[in-house]
Amino acid sequence: MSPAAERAVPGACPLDCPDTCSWIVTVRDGEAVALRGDRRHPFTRGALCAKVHRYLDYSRAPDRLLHPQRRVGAKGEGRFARISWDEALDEIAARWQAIIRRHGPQAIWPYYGTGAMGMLQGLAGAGRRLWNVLGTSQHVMTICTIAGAYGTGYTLGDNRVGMDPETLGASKLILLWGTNTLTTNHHLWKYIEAARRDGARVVVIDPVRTRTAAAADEHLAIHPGTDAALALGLLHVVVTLGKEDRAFIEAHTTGWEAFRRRILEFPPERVSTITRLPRECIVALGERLATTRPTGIRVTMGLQRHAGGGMAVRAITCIPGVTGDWQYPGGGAVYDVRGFVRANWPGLWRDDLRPPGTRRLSMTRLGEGLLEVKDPPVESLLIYASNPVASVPDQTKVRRGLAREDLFTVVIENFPTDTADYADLLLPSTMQTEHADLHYAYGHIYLAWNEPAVAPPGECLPHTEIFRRLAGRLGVTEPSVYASDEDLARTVLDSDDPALAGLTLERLRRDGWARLNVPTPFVPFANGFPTASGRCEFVSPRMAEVGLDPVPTYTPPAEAADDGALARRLPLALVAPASHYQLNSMFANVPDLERRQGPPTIILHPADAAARGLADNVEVCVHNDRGEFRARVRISDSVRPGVAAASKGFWPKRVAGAANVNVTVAERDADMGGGAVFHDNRVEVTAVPSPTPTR
Amino acid sequence: MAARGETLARQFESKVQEATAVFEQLSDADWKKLTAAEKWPVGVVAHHIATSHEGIGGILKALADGKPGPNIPKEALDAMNATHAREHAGCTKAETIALHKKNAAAAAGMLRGLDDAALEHRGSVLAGVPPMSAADLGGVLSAHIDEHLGSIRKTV
Repeated sequence: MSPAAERAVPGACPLDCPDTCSWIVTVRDGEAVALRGDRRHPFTRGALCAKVHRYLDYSRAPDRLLHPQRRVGAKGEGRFARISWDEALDEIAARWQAIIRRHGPQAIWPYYGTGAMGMLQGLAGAGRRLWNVLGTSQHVMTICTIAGAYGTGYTLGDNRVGMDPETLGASKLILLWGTNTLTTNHHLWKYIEAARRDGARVVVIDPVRTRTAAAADEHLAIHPGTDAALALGLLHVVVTLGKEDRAFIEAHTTGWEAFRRRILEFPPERVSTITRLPRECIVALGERLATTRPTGIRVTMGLQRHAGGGMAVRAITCIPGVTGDWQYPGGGAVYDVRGFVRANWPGLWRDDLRPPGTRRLSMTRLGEGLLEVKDPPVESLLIYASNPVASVPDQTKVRRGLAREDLFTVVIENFPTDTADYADLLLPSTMQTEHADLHYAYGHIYLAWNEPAVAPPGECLPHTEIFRRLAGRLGVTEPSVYASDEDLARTVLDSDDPALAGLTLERLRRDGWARLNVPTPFVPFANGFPTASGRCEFVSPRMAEVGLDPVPTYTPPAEAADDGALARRLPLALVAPASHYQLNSMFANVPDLERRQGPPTIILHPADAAARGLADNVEVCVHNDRGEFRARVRISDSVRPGVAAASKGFWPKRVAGAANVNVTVAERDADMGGGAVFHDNRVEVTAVPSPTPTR
Repeated sequence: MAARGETLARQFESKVQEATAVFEQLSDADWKKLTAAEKWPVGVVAHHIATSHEGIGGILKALADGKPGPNIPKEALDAMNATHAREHAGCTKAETIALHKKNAAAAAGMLRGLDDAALEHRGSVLAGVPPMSAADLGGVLSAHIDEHLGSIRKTV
């Protein structure tokens, strides 16, 4: 075979990760023979993660769904029989038309997740036009970033803006706050290493000594859910030393006097009690923060998954407003940067087609949505790019909801997940090498085009095509729901924003990716903020208007920091961060990665293990009032006494006990945006009396 | 039946109409006069009234929904008001009256939608001040107009 017969097809990783890697697929005779990272991409530079570098094998796995199927067993059993696309689409159309006649379109809930992040096939756009035209219930993405996004927005004026991560190489102090960078954002590490070579100090703030914490200069093992108190305590040191940047505060912030008074309510002694960190560590880091310019803060989603999560991210994003770091390359804080992509979202989504007053249903209250919501009740779910049985809180309640015999459930999937087992109709969708998509990233400021490299296997279809065919079956006359993938891409790129000037589909197809047209280095808030006041808002009128304290404060978690009756009964505060070999619940069915990941574990401090008579690797039951799951004990001082760490992402049906950590998580909201509270959880751990086989 | 909400809404609407009449009669010269109480131009005070229906109404709704209340420190309230005054120094009479009517209609509609039990929900609205009920805040909606309208009347 001559190299000339090969094609190099540009693409991008579609998964829920800030890095959104650009990749190149080598295609020979219509078959993808290699997939490697695109070395030309300035941020991802050709490196793929431990999960994605075998993406081609993943897309060709023997358990890949290839044909439409209809359920023939009980709900949850996972027994199906093959049918045609025509049969499947006719059945959906008939059932939905009957539901709409009986209850109206809001009885249908299109339910999607972070399994695909793109603007065409993923959560940034797929299906939205059709759901708007039909007037179905609106799906609210509460599973991931939302509380912290609101916290960011109240401070900076846009939920999805922050310092440019690429400038982190210029930082002299880097705070990696609630982020396991080496596992979940690993392309950022080279900027961190560059800064270190230039003398920067790296401090990780995390309840768990992750691989990132182990690689840092310093690790502060904060108690889960107390980050806002630490932020205020660090600022107390800054203010006590008189190191606040008064010129910046005067020119670019609002409400300093109120914020200053609030900061003074959090002296290091008090913060030490709340965070369970030594006072001297708080003072030392505060002094370093006070005297080191620029300081860059990377904050990610874990720390906002508790009752005060929005306020925590708000407090942290206020720090650079006090120190003045927003004005320097390498200074500031970053949670998400998608807000800099001011694309033609209205044109893509067509929310103007949605009936006014259409209700909104929370993704992470699925059990409630299926069992308790009335007027109208949810009569049909259409689930895509999501595996809620594995990934949303209160797994037992979710299963009860999905088991409703009167619920018509359609699941569009690549693999036979636990959620797919509850489908009435199970439809096969394409994977990233098989369809077109357009991507932005939450961890850098590049767009990427994903060109389809190979033909879909079996009868798999892209989400866009499934929704076009469904619209046809439903007799939808609104022409915009039939737009081609290319038209959708051109529409969303058709923006007057200077940052998108020249970023055409042709250019993206040619190069694979493009950086936004912004200066280098990009220091977005050196001269102002996108708030109503044009300033960094230490006092937020918008927060007061929704009943929130307008000044950053510490809002305690509902369970994690309890020291009363709940803590006596359930002594361990449980966090469940991302694992290295799974991405949310994706890849949990890949045998090689499953082997490397090992069975579900729970990390216990030696003192906690000894108090329960537990040895390393013994199987235990992790339980609370909501449910229980099985795990193997790992005894380690990587967590402090009273804190335990499990991993999220396991498929319940592939682990002992048929449940994962989310069976213990409450269906409860954070302080902002209805965000989920995965790390605001208390459990007890007891030995399993007799050995239970594990995979 | 939401009789209490209806009563509060009517009281509020009466004050809104009174304020509208005063705003409409203000001359361009009046609009620029500085009030003694707030030390803002009359137009900015009018805009503050118009804006606050939304802010007070939002807190009222949050309390009615069972939320704990914002517990706003006095300095924060002062800062928010000062920022508002700075941002709207150039507001016009027409836009202010339009905002006043729009925000007032929304607040009155919200009040009418609350049942008596929701109006009894209490929370901390201002730091250092005893907790208030949603119904108390319904009264504040009217009292807030009274307070600032008095200042405008004294000035012009």
